[in-house]
Amino acid sequence: MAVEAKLSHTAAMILQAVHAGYVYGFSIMEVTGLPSGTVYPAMRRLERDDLIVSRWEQQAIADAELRPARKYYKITRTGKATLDAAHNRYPLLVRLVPAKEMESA
Amino acid sequence: MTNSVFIRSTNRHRAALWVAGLLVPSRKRAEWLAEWRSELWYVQQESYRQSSTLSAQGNLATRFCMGAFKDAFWAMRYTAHEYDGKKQLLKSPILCLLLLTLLATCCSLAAYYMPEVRESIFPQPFHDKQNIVFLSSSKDLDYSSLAVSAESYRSWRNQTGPQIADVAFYESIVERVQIAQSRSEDLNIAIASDNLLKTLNIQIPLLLLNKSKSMGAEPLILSHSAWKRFFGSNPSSIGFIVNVGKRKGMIVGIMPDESWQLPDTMDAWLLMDEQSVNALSSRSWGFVVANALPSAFSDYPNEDWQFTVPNDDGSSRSIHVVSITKVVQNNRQQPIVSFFHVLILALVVLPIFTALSLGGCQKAHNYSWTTMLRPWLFFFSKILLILPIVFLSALIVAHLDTSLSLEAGLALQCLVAFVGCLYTLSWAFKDQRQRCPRCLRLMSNPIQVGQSSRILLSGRSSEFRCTRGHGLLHIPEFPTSWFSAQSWHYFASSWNGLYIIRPSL
Repeated sequence: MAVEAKLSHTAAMILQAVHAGYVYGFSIMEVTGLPSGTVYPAMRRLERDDLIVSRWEQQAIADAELRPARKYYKITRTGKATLDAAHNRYPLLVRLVPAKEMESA
Repeated sequence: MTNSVFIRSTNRHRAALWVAGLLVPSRKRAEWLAEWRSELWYVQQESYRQSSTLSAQGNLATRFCMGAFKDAFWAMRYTAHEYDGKKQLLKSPILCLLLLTLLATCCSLAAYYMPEVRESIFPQPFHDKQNIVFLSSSKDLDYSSLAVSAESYRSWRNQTGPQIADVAFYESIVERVQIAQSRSEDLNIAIASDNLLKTLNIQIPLLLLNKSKSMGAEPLILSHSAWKRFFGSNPSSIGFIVNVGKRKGMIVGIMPDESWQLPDTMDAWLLMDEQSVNALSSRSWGFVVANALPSAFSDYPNEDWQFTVPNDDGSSRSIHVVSITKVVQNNRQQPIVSFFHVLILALVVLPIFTALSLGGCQKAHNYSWTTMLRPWLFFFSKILLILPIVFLSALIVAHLDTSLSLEAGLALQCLVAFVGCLYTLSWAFKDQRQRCPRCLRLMSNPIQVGQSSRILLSGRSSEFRCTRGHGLLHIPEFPTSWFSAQSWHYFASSWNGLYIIRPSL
């Protein structure tokens, strides 16, 4: 991005959630408390602005666990820089969306 | 029971997602649906874990699915403004040239695989008959100059010397021919000596020759097109006796149209014996063709030579021997020549159909000379591709109906070429005016400006925008003293930020 994007609080929260390890839509809904009609369009905007990227989980892994494959999101370098700038604007962001704890095996 | 309720609920949610997916542009719909269906499964699993009642479980999934509609609306709105690679490609000048090149290639292939068209473009007259010559008192290559009187033929035919053999004569006339009991037509007839076909090395089967002589009729050979047009390609027409003016002729054969490549298009040839040729009036004018021995051409490498024959009064006169190949090539109506005549006519008429201005887009701006040159290169490339397309298309159309006479075919070719030139040249100018002078892409996003009332000082106009932000094309709805024609308004570099070209997501 030539110009650093200024995020709304909601978008910054979602970006923070992705950065914190909540890598699919439903988990972001859970951690932020936002409805699906807010989370998914916001993620598409973030992806459009190259702040996050998405990739589909390998079908074989999902099949082995008898569940559908998920679409995972990951923060980009630009997204990280934008998030750092958003932290200055929204200092409580890190507290609102804490880093995800390692899932037990 | 619980299972059936769950399945019904799941189906309802999946149906809701499918309906929402209809809002999403088709090229993104499959992935969009896959993500939402996958997430729905996880939502349902989570709702099972959290809630004990079916209604609570269903509510969570239903609320989730309602969000899909909002997402779908967003996808629909966003994609409408998204950079569309396909649409951009259609506006591209490269695609325009590629399509024209493809069209020109198709026309060339079609012309190559149609023998009649190929022959008309690359004629090979008498390529196997190099020894056939005209005998004339003039060495001019024009047909009219080569004509001699029947009297001259009669005096020359036995005095041509050892290098000339098989001297034949034919006269082209229009005669009333009685086709049927109550039907007569004017046909182009070659009144010829009976050795004409032998002299020209034209080999066609002739039937009933002896019968024609016994019945007092001259052998009459029809051209294939005349046989088709006047006798309906009826095979039993062989043997018919028809009146050719005051003479009688019996149809003894059909000559393929391409076999005859000498002056005038003939419908029939009436072969007369020596006695009848001798009886021809001295006012009859025709052509004398002959076979020259191959050794003659080695003696006269320029192919044209002359010899002298004595006159009755003791003086002598020169006879020029002119190669038939050179004569035919010199007199053949080249389709390319006709096309250029038509093209000139179309260029004269073109201003009636479209303005010849390129819309002021060639005016100097602070662009480099290569950028200034590009629109001209593009324009002339289009013209260079258009002309062969029109030329070949006209030839192909003219040769589609093989029953047409040569004149009708030529007229059709000229007509198609004229209309084609007008249409395609108009398109080339209009297309050029609608392109950005910088990137040569077609302009888009038209908007109406001005007031709708048609008072003099509130002229309405349309503005088209270059999708790459190079400028605006202003086209007045009706010409005024301050805006008589379309004009360009270049954007300054400060506009660039609004026109970031985004690759397709």
